[in-house]
Amino acid sequence: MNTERKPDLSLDLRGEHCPYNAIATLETLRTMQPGQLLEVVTDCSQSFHGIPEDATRHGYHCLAVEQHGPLFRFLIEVPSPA
Amino acid sequence: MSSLRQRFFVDFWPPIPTLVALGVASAYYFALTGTFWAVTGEFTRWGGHVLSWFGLKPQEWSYFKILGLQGTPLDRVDGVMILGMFLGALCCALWAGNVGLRRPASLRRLVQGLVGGIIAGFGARLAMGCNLAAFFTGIPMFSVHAWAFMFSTVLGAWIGVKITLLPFLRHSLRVQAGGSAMPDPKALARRTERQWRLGWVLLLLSLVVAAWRFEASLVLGMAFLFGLAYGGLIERGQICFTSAARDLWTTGRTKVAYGILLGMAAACIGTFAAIRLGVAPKIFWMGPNAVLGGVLFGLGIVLAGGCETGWMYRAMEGQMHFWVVGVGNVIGGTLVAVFWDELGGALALPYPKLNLLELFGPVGGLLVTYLGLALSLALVAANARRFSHARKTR
Repeated sequence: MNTERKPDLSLDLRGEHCPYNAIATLETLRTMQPGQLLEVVTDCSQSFHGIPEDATRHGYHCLAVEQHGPLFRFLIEVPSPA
Repeated sequence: MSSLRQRFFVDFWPPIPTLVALGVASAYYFALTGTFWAVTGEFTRWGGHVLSWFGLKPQEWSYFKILGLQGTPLDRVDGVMILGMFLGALCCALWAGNVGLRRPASLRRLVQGLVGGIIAGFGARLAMGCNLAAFFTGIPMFSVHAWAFMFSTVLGAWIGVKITLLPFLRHSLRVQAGGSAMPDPKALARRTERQWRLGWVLLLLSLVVAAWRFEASLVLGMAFLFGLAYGGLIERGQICFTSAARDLWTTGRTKVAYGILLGMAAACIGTFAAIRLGVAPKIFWMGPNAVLGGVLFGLGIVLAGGCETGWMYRAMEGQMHFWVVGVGNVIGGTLVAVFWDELGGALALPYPKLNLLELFGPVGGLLVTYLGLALSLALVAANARRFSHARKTR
């Protein structure tokens, strides 16, 4: 399963609120190579809707959104060129 | 049962239907109580109560003569509704296992939250409402000032984004190779069960409070129940009005903005019906106060990271940052009350209270409102196109 693939990078956004979560996620993704996988960890529930919507709009694949109590974990893939 | 629990009590609800439900509920609330769903006026009254502990006499100030400062929050429609919102949001956050103390990232962020909260509270009260009374429940009152406030808020959010993303307010990114450890699933499951049970205990207590308020009056009881529903809905849908305005400028999000506009469309026909049956709409001055208040509000909510309804459910989830934002809102609103004679006399009171249903007649006013909402939807969609697949063209 996708969720078991080991991410290449992990971005820790605990304690941050919007818009920093969204901006930091997109900034990190921009530095990554096609095919790489980014893990994002936040404790801001609002990012549950926001980060997947932003990632998709900006052309990335949001593969997983998980809740671990008050923590939220996202897995986002930089698409490989077709 | 476990899948139902996951679907309704744990997974967050999609924002668009949740906002439409809030719109419908707000129209019924208006018909039942004669007032709109609003929070900042009551926050300002709390500020008034605090000032009166220090020997001041805020009840004699002109702003509190407009708002009313009788009794305690538990005797007021707005007060019991807000108590309901806090309890409803807390119940829902507990059921989802989503309550936990979240420390802010830095002291700087906390100061930013306080300053943003004060600016947003001040702007909201200057315009006689926040994202609710001058926006989400203001436009369905057919008050022109709410339209001015809505567009000014979007403008203020743009300024807010510029300030918020200045280098001195950014933290360096905490990035590491590989994944990070998540909490132990067994410990997490025990914690989630505890919160689930606590949520039901809290709901039972809330129903006792509801019964107690119904004994005082039907309207107070109903207002409390509506508060529970509002608080629950904004937490379940993670409804963020700030995001709707701010992310037009940052990432091009559309869902919440569409939801808000559709929610208002659903509310309008209900409030229209109530007004036709004789409930008096709440109309406020269309003066520079609405524009200036909107700009300050938009700036403040972006700086703070959440608006007057946003901090309420986030505070209940244990996001400490938003406790501070809430205090800021009360301070900001109270400042308007302190300086109202100067502010209101110059910026609000000399200007007319414009009601679309009187300007264009009932049918015309309703039509203009729906055309305005449709135009706003189109603007949000057009704006989002600027961001779509931005990465590929880079």
